[in-house]
Amino acid sequence: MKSKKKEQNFVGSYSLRKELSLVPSYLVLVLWVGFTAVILLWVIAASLSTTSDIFTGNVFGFTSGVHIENYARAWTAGNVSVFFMNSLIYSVISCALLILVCAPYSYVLQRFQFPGSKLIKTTLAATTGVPVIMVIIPLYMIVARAGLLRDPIPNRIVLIVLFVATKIPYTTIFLMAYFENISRSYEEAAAIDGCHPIKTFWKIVFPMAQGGLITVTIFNFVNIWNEYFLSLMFVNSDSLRPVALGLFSMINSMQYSGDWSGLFASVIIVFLPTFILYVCLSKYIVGGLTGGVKG
Amino acid sequence: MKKVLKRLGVVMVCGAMLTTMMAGCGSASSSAAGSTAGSTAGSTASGDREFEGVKLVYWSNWEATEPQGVVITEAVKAFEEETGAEVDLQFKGRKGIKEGLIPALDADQQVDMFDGAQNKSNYGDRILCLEDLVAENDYEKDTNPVMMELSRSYYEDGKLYEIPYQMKANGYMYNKGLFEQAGITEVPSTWDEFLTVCQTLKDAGITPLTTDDAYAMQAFGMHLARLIGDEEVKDVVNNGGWDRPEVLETAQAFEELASKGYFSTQVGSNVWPTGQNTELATGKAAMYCVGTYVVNETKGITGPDFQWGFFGYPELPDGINGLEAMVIGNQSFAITNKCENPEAAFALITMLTRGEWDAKLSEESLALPADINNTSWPEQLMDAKPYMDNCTEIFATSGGLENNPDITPALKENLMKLYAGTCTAEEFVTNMLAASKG
Amino acid sequence: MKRNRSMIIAFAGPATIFFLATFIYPIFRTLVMSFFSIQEITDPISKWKFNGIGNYVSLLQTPLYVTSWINLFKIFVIGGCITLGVSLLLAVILKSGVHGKGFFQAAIYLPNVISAVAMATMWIQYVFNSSYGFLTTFFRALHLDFLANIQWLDADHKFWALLLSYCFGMIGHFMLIWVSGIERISPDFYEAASIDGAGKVSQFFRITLPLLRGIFRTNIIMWSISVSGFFIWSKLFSPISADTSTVVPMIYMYDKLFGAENTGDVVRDAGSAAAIGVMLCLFIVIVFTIVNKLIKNDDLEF
Repeated sequence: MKSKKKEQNFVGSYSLRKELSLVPSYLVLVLWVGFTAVILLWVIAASLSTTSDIFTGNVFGFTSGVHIENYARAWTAGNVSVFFMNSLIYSVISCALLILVCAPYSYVLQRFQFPGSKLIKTTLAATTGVPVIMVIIPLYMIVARAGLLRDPIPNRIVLIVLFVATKIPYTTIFLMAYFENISRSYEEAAAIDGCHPIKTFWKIVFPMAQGGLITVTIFNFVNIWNEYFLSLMFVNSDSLRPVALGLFSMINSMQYSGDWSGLFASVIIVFLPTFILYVCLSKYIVGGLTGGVKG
Repeated sequence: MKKVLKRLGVVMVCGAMLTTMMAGCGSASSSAAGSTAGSTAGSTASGDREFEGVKLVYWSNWEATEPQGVVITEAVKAFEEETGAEVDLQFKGRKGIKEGLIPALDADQQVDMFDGAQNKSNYGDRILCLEDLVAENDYEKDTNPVMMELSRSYYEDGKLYEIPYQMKANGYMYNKGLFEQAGITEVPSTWDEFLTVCQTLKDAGITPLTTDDAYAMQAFGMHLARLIGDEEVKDVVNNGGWDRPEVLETAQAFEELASKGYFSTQVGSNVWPTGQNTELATGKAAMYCVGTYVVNETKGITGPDFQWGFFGYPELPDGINGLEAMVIGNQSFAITNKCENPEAAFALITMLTRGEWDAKLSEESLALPADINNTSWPEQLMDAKPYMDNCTEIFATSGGLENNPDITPALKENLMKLYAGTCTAEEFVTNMLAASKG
Repeated sequence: MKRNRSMIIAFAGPATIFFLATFIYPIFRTLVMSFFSIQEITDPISKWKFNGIGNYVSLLQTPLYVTSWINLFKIFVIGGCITLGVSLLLAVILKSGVHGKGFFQAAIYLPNVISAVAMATMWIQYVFNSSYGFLTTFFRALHLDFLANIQWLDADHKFWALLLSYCFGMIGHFMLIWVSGIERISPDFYEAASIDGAGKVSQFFRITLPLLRGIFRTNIIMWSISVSGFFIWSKLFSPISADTSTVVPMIYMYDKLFGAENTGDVVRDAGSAAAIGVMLCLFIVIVFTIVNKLIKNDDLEF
């Protein structure tokens, strides 16, 4: 909290000069965001117009009115509320597990040299390069032959375990950079106080990596929410289907049958939950370290 | 690289009855022998519920919300009521079938039958030979014999492993309204007539031709196949025979089309579906060499009033084949070796490819019916019927020009340049020779 | 030290076992497969035929496969400079004390959340369209006709169109990583530097950059991971069959694994697909090793 106050004072005293020097910054940001806004508005407008408007370049004209029914068409892609619930379960549990597993893992990998640590790091990096298909299909053969996909509960567990396992390398590599930038002095001080290193990690180091943890959680959440191939292979019952599978099949069908406005409506439906989550979480990123570290 | 040799040769006579002799090719269809599979479960016969207690798992390559998916769902319900069978219908989508089905079968998941793109030869012994079932049910008589021959040609033993449906024909799809506007009353059947049509359209201020990168191979491939036949075209793409004089001749034909300004000015930058959607369907361009599926793909833009026309790829003065040779494709059904009740699965396939449900599938998805007795084709595709009825030789996709996926990308790029007029016929040949050298 | 050891075992043990259990078998299998002729990825070992390095040799002799790697390197190097550079610039701007930081940050990241299918369709159908597209209309309004007349999606420009649209999306992603890295830098540093009279630019080079070293290294690795998995954008820019200007190894692998579209004869070759997988994996390992050598893992104190 101390440093935040300082920053405010600092900003306050140089206000006018500072604002002037920021003009080029604003210019860049406004142009960038302006362009983003135009293209996003185009997507939204496309989702509310007709296919023929899209391909005649009249998306913003709404010459034939606003077509809310595109959304109705997309929403009928089966049991969307069940799919939403499933996706939420898979994404939230997987993201939480990933943090619990990967934060300590990347911490010890970054901080300590121990037999095999270099090898583990290289293997982690190497696995991210292997195409997902080459990993998932052999796993599918084992899991399906073992009969784990016959009942809903084991099937759900298998899915979550796989979501977590496939994201471990990425998340761990990502988080190592954050632990690297956290000074060792905190741990040294805690060690002198007689604090067990495991306790030191969870009480002191873990909260300091908050920015990185939230960022990687956002990436993981977006990824798992939009995941397609893994669920396509492993989900054999409608009641277990995540939303991406249902709506992406909607997107595919609309592409094949030339219903492009319906496609954009489906896209917006898939996009909204991740967007809302992002808006909520981004507040914490802005808070970042300064809010997170006490003392 | 082992190639399944295709017997895509000429099949002249319609009554090619030789196939009925081919009994006893599979070991599989005997497993549930004794049931009354011979009866026509597809028709309206009800009451006996012959497949009571049978459970089928059916993976479809359509999506539940596509027209095909909707009709199949209804048909499956009707099948369940009629026969007492229980069908677990799962819409896996094209991706799901292409990527997921073989792993599922190899992991012993129960899948009895599936549908998907034509040529399932890569499934090997995972699918059942259907000759016995076809003979027992006297199925063959109601499908276009050329289609049956095509379906058999994919397999080394020349036997039937898949049942065709959702036929599609390739040729020039055109906008009848624009033809009328330019005063054209007859479709071209020769190259000279085709050039005249292009010129007439152009004089009337209409862009005669457009295409998209994804379909760029179709016109060129057909042209070359008219000159040398599709087997030779395959030889060109597989063995780098781009220095053949016919290749240059074909390239010059397209160079001429481009130099006379027959292609749309933005054809070079058409990434699918830009050309078909923004030029053909909106009435900016008149003709597009593509399959009949474009009608379904653009129906959201054209609306119901668009007047579709079709004509086969024009005959060439020095060609070795004519309008009787064309590209026809299809979707197909197959029964897996996991299936314990092939009779039930075949009955469902029969139901979907015959009579009422076949007509409904064709009507809703704007595709060609599988049952030759279904003569009421979708109005938009009516023009393709005489061509298909008279077809005696089926070319491979794009006349064989897409046979080598390693060369297709370079070909596509240079064809788009050729159509856009940014490269000459000679440059085209040089570029292709360079691209096919290792 | 003893206590550290117990922590290392507790933290690294289960995670390593879990991770190896999922990955080691598939990866080992892929590696072995790459030396055999195999049709289907699920074929039993009895159907495999030993082929030595045959898969690798025939791949490297295929011009299209070589092209796919050239494209990948171009995306990696050029796209990497653009993406990492611009995203860092935006992150620094965001942290320079502008108002509405949260809003700008969210807006720039937004395209990442939208399905690639929609984004690519939007770029192709709207931004790059040569008759009514955004770029054409925009440049025409500015009377820059030579720019307005560019056909962005023809054979000569398609790669750049693809690269531009891909980078635009990725910049938001990397900007977020930079921002969360810069958050870690205490404002005390900048305050001290300002008092010493250091300007914004020298603050950037003296404080921000050195302190972001770890993030920088990670970002390069992350970028190589994203690039090696480059697939969906290429697929959307050349649907149905691959394209010389946009083909990348993953596209080539996919066609080997599941058969290319429209060929008539479906030829599947899981052995070669595995070899491509191994080469992609090597690519990441090489980048990882080089980057770790070049940017030393110093323990930064601040």
